[in-house]
Amino acid sequence: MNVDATERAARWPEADAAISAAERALVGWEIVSVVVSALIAEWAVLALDAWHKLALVVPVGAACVLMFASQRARGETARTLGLTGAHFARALRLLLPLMILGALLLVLTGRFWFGVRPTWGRGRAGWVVLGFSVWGFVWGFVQQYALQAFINRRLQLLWGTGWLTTLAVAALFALLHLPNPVLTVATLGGGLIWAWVYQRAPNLWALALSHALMTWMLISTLPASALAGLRVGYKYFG
Amino acid sequence: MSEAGARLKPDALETQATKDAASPTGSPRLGVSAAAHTPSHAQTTLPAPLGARARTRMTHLLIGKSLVETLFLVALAVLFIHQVLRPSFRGSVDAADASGVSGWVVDAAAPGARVEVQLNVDGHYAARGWADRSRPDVPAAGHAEDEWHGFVLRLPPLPPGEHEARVYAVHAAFGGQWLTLQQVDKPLRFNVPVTAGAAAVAPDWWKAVEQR
Repeated sequence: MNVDATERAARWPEADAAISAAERALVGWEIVSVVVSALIAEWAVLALDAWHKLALVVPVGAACVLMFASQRARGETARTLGLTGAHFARALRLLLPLMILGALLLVLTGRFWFGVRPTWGRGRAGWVVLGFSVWGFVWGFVQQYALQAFINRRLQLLWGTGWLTTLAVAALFALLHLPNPVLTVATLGGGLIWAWVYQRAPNLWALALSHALMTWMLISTLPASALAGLRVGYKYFG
Repeated sequence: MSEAGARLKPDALETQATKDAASPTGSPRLGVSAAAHTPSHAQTTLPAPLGARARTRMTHLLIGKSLVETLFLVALAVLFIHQVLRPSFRGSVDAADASGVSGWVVDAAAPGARVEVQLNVDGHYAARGWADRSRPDVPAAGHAEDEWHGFVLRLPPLPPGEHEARVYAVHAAFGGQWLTLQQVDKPLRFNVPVTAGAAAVAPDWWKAVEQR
């Protein structure tokens, strides 16, 4: 059933009033809360030694509980979140030209800005390359889940799809990679692409694949000194 | 009506949220999708807005999460302060002259362990060593279980005049990731008499120490 805004307002004034104020505030709070959890993890917990890093379970666990509860309460399904195979091919089709463009940009930046040539994993053992690829995919999936399946979708509730939401998702993603300058810029660009693609073809598997590949491109084309070991938050300084 | 409200429209999505949204007055449930308010190329199906009950539950969850994280940060701050700024060092700087500074240091939290100490003179690094010399008076006064907590730190050549010595306990926290200096006792002022050797020492004596 399709009902336009005027008709909806006439038929269900109470519902729209509820959506406009309380729902918006709640959605905004949810987004801020998850971002704060990530900042606590990056800036407070990761400053500690290995044993105390187990405390990561508190902010990460709290954020996960919130995201799962919110998605359950709103009736979001695996398909709508992009956890199934739906839209996979379309997402890849959208991603491919942008990834090629991004890869080209990285190669050129490495060559002319930092004066280095791509390594493509040379000098690394096969198991290191394999391990990094698997880890990159898993870690990429986790990040894309929080970023797209939660933050992007909640921002869409506030502002709908479009550039404002896409830009906000990318800005939040970049914020979480401060103060590493190269990663902040890279994630701003990557965030724009992934948020834009997710709005058109919500599939987290394709995004995770892209995330892992672009991370590999990043460490293959830019010098280690510029990437600072991919460290973010407090660890960036030490 | 809000912009967000205007964009939303009902569809067949049946969720807990839609059930919660049913009003006692018989208003329709809020089963919504963004399919129509998003551009035609978009594939996103937006979640349903929450009903009153679900919204209350989410609010409680958010408040609970905020409280847990606040308490967590407080606990982390206390742990950090306790570990890094260890409050358990006890000690005394007993004597200082042109040749050296002596005293004792004990870590009350680990009374059997030896404490590393650093000596600064006039705000500059002068010497470093361990408080592992015999001081029978320390256990006798009940400060430690054994007598091996004394230190004697030899001073580098200093120019004549009055100087200030500060002794610090060196403490490694979080597996050595953090190294802090905590002052032991009060600063002690001492005088270096005018001798031929002292007169030859440059006023910026610490540069030679740092180079060593």
